[in-house]
Parts: sequence; structure tokens; C-alpha cells
Amino acid sequence: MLQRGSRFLLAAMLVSALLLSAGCGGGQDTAELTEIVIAIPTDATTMDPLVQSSTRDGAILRNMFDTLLKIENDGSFTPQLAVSVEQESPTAWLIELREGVTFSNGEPVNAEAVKFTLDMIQDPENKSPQLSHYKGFSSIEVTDDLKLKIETASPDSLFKVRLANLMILPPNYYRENGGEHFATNPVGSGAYTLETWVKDSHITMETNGDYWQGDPPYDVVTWRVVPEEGSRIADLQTGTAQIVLNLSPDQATALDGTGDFQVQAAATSRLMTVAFNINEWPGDQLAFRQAVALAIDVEAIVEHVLSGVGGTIAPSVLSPVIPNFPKDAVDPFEYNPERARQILAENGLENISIEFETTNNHFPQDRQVAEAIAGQLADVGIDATVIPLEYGVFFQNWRNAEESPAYLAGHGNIWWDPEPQLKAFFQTGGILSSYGDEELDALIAEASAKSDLVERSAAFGEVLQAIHDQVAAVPLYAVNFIYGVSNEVEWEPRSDALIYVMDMEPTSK
Amino acid sequence: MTRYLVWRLSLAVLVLFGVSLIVFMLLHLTGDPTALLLPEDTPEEIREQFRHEMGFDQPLSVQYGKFLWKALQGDFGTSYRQRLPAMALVLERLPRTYQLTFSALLIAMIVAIPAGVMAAVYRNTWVDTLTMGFSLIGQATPTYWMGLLFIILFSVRLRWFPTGGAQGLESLVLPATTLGLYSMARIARMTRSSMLEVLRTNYVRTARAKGLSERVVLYKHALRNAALPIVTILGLELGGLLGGAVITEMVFSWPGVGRLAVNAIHGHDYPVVQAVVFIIATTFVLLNLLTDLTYALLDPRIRYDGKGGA
Repeated sequence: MLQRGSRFLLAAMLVSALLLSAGCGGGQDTAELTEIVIAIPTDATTMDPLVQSSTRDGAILRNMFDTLLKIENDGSFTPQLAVSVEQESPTAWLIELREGVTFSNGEPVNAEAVKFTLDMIQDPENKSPQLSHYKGFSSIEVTDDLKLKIETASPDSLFKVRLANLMILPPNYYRENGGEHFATNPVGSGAYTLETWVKDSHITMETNGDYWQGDPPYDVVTWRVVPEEGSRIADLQTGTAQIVLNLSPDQATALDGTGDFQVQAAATSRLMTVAFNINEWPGDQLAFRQAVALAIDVEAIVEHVLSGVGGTIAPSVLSPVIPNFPKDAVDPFEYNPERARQILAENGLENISIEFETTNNHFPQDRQVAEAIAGQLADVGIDATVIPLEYGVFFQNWRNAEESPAYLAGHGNIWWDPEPQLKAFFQTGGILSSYGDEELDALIAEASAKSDLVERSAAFGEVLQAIHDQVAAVPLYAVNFIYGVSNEVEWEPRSDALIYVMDMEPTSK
Repeated sequence: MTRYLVWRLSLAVLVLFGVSLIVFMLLHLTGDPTALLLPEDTPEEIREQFRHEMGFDQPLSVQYGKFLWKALQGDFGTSYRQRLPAMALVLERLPRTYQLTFSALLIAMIVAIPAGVMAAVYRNTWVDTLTMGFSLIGQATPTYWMGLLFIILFSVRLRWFPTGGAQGLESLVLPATTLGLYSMARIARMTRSSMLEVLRTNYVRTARAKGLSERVVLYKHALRNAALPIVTILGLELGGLLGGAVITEMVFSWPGVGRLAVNAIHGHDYPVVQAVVFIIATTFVLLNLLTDLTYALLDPRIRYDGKGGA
């Protein structure tokens, strides 16, 4: 894999650099600083990992802060600050940290730092948006300078994922200076340190010269804030930026092959679905749901509304990027408007009118997709009125299960595991669930209890099949994030939209 | 005059109060404020806890009261997203927006006023048609589209200017010109019609009859008198430019207040929205006041003490 290859290369470079410097007696490298510029649509909100939880902030911060583990694209975990994570019992874990790692201000990265970070997150006064993710850690015990024992309130199959999202803070520096100072003057143990942050303009990072993983591929990283897509494209075309984020599908297809860059689409774990509210007629009618499933031509939507590149068709409600789980064991719904009309006629649901709620410019092309679906529903005799809602309002309906009988919803999943997503969206009383079925609840509970990966995978396969059979939702596609990458850089976008500069490689070298 | 000033300033305070109330209501009617501040799968109890910590669970009147009380002391609260004082975030970016807006107006004036004068002097000739034609295009063309077109032409194709950002004077040229186009059009039109009126007057005829050079007639006598409506429009233009700056700032990645406002609105960052609105409303109100006072300065016939004109 690319990462292993580049790591080997970096190690080889490091060794030869060490040998050379040993001979030269520690002179400064006088070669020009290598720089990479990444154009992003919005500025970071803060440099303090404690008070953020968005992927956008995370993508930037991961380059200044290390997590305990790192998740690779295939779902496997690589050690970062934690060299070993062992499960002592279903609710107890032993963590051993890497030796000799320091924060950029010299403070040691040790078990105290990890405990400090978790304590800060768990304290409601700090209003950390990540509180809910770590609430289940019932006890955090420092057993040695580099060792910790963490106990969870109940068996936690997502424990390692939580460690992979935990960016470690420096206790002394944070305590002395406080959160407000830290937000603009961060100190982490990552590959880069913050050099300047001109709000809404750019963020410049420099290598701290002493990274435990080896020398980063670029000396300087500049995150250039460019809100307008047209301007980002201009940056790519002029070479002002080597990587640009968030290209829209139609722009991407027009751009591809027109210059010294590649357009790369990466599927994410965000899965767009047509969801149903069983509290609103006819959302509770199986026939209605089946008809909707048969009436939607997902291929046409991805081809025409998303220019073929904005989404990856998904046969089940679990995004194809989530590894280890059989989301393709379920057959997708076929596109059969004739059959749809038949089912509606047989069940006295001909020529019905419904409202069809959607977010408005919150998920990419959400309104356009909703309009396309409404058009396809009209073909089978369902008169769907698209209601675009501002996200705050949509979210309120979502949480209170007060949406229209059918609505367009994007399921997020940052856990590389089906449990949180399926519980939140399909369980009776789930946080964002407008569905409920006893049989499905039982299947979900059963699958969640399994800790062996093979058993868990098979059990969740049954859950996905049940969701399909009951038409609890109609899976459409996984949202693709589209990047423009200069030919000067070798880099593959991640499905979780995080950006590790350490994983990049200049092609000129 | 003092009474007038006091009256105007008290009105200003009333306006600002009304604006803050309206904005507050609008913001809080857009659904759950925690929607964008917490991960979507946050359990209900934790969301409630967060709401309590942020003060969202109190009645709206209480929340507004608290906001108003602190605002009167200069404290506009803390940004929900950035956890830094909201007003400081706005003031940080204000100079950039003013820089952009004033430059835009300057460019607009430098081009538009002479153009308007020429159009008036050479009325109904090709000069007039050309100038007013451009004016029409300038007013009809959306800033957004024009901005992108400028970037494609001058940044990507010709590489004369950077594509965006705020580094150095050369990155000010494109955004200021784009922003100034609309004002340019309006000022040119206004100058033309104002000049036409003045050129018809007796004193101009007298000036010409006295044998003064055309230039002296135009700029020393005619334009001075035509200036009144132009000054009015300049003041209003400046206020409008502040609003239009939002789009220009987005297109050219200019780190000003407009972008801060858009991001804050999208992100439901209420304290920042309130702070931005307050600052812009204050600027607008003060500009209006300044315009009216300049009016009085330029035309001695106008008095604000209740006697005579205005």
C-alpha cells in the first residue's frame, strides 16, 4: 500500500540523513523548503481538539496532534501514540504508550496526558462536542508512566475507534494557558506545528523537526481558505494550490484532463437514503415503501444529477467504504416503475399526494436529488411535493420523528461499524429514527452484542437484509467527496475525509 | 444643530435596538441551535446538558435580556464554534472589509464622475451612449458572475493578478473593481443627470458668457453644484457596498466581515451574527448621519434646526 511504501522511503531517507549528518557534524540543511498548499472551503474554527468534532477541523488538526491509534482505509488500526491496546476483559482495556515522544514544547507524551485529555472531554463544563463519544469510559487509571487501564461502563465494540479519534493534549501547557489561548496557540505532538493562522485567509504549518514517525514529506503546509469553488478551481489551474477540496460533480467532470492535475472522487461513509416516517401515513404502509423503492432509478440519479461522479451506488444502507461488513450481500432494489404502480393499485394507494422533505444545500446536491426523486415518484402516481428545509428545522424534525412520510436523509457513520448508524436511524426510539419494528430491534440488539468480527459481520448482514425486506429505508448512494490533486503530489483521498500530510509524497522526488 | 444631532443619535440607538431584536428572533426561529454544534448522533441527555450549559433552555425573553444587558457593556458573548469573544472576531476582520469597500468606492468615483460629466457634456453623442451603455451593463451584471469572470481572465489566463486572498496590493485590485462596478454605474448615471440639470441653469450660462474656460465652468461651477445629489448617493453607496462586499469576499476569498457573517449564519453561531449585524448597522447609521451633515456643509441653504430647507 502507498503508506507502507512511503514509510519505508521515509525511513530510508531518515537513515541516510542520519548517516550524512553524522559525517557532517550536524550542519543545517541549506536546501529550499518544500511546501504544499491545500485549498479548503472553510477556515478551521479552532486549533483546540477539545472543542471541535467536525471532519473539517479534524483534517487539519490531525497534522498537529497525534491520536492513540490510526485507522487505515481498510479499517485496520496502526499504532500511533499507543503501541499496544489489549482487552483484559469485556469492559477493561490496557494501553501502552510509545516511548520517547514529546509535545512540541518539550512536555512528555505520557499516560498523564492521555488521562488529562479524557478528563477534559468528560467534564460537561468544557462543553466538548465529543463528550458523548467518551462518556462510556467509566474509569481511567494511570498504572505507570506510559501505561493506562481504561474501564468501560459496558462492553464497547467501538473502543479502538474511539482511541483513533482521540487527539492528545499537553496537560501542563493547557492548564497554564487555558482553552482560549490554546485555540490559537496549539501545542501537539504531531508532524507539524502551527506557524501562522490568519483567520479566513490561511493556516501555515511547519515541521517540528523531531517527529517520531520520521520526516514529513513537506517542510511547510499551507491551508488556503478559498470559499468559492470557482476560485478553488482557479487555484488548481494556476498551480497556486496542489490539492483542492470539495469540487462539485459537474465542475469535476469538466475539469478532468484539462491540466496538470487529477480529479479524484472518494466515496465517504455518508449514505443518502429515502427514509420513511412510520408515524405519518402512508409511511407506515409496506406497500407504499415498496412502491417508492421500485420507483427510484438510482443509476439515473447518480448519472445525471451527480454527473456520474458525485456518488457511489449502494445496495444497502451501509456505505461501501465500511470494511468487513457484508453490505453487498443484500441485493439492491430493482428499478421497476410498472411493478410499483401495480403494488400501489393493489393496495388502494393510487394517486396519493405526499410531502417530501429534504435539507437545502446541507448535503451535496440534496435538493436536486430530491427533485429528481419527486419526478420519478410522479411517474408511478405519487404526487410528491419537495419541501426544502433549513438544516436547523430539518434537524429538529429528524430528532422528533416529525418528518414527512418520506424524506431524503444522509446517514453519517464515523465508526467504521454498523452498530451506531443502524441504532440511531432504525431502532425504535433511535435518536434520529422515524422507524420501528420489533423484529428488527431484536436483530440489531443481537448483532450488537457480538464481539467476534466474523459473527458480528454475519449478524449485521441479517440486519441489513431485514432492513431491505421491510423497506425501512431505500439506500441510494454513498456521497463522494471530489478532490483536485496536482500531478506533483502522490496522494489518495481517504473515505473519512481526513487529510494526513504524512501520507503524501511529492512525485518529483 | 445640536438638537438635530441628539435627535438623530437617539434614533440611531432605537434602530440598533430594533435590528438586534429582529435578528435575535430570526435566529432563534430556525430550529435547534445545537443542531450544528454537536454530532448528529449525540444522545438526548447529553444534548440537554449542552443546551443547559449554553443557556439555550431558558425562555427567549430571558436569553434576549441577558444578551442585551451584556451587549450594553460591550460584551457580545462567545462564539459557539470558535469559543472566542464574538466582537473581537468581528473587529479583527473589519479593517479588511473597510479596505475593500473604500477602495471599491474610490475606483468607482475615479471612473464614474468624469465619465458622468463627459456623458452630460457630450449628451446624445456616442460618448453618452457608450458611457450609459456600460453603466447599464454594470448595474445589470451580478457581482458573483463578474468576479468569477475576472478571475478566469485576469488570474488564470493572463496571470496578472492572484486568484484570491489578501496578500498585498495586487490582490485588492480585482475584488475592489468587481465590487465597485455596480456603484460605478449608479454614480455615473447620477452625475450625468445632475450635471445636465446644472448645465441648464442661468449661472452656468452667465459663467460661459463671462468668457471662462469650459473646464473652469464645468469643474469649478457646475460640478460643485451638481455634487449635492452625488454626495448623497456616495453615502448610500458606501452602505450598500458593505452589504455587497459579502459576495465579493466569498468569490475572492477576501478575509473580511462578510464571510464571517455568512459562515456564522450557516453555522448557527448566534453571538457572531449578532455582533456582525450590530457593527454593520452602526456603520450604516453613522454613514447616513455623516452624509446628511455633509449635505448641510455643502449647501448653506440647508439647515437642520427646523427653519428653512431640508
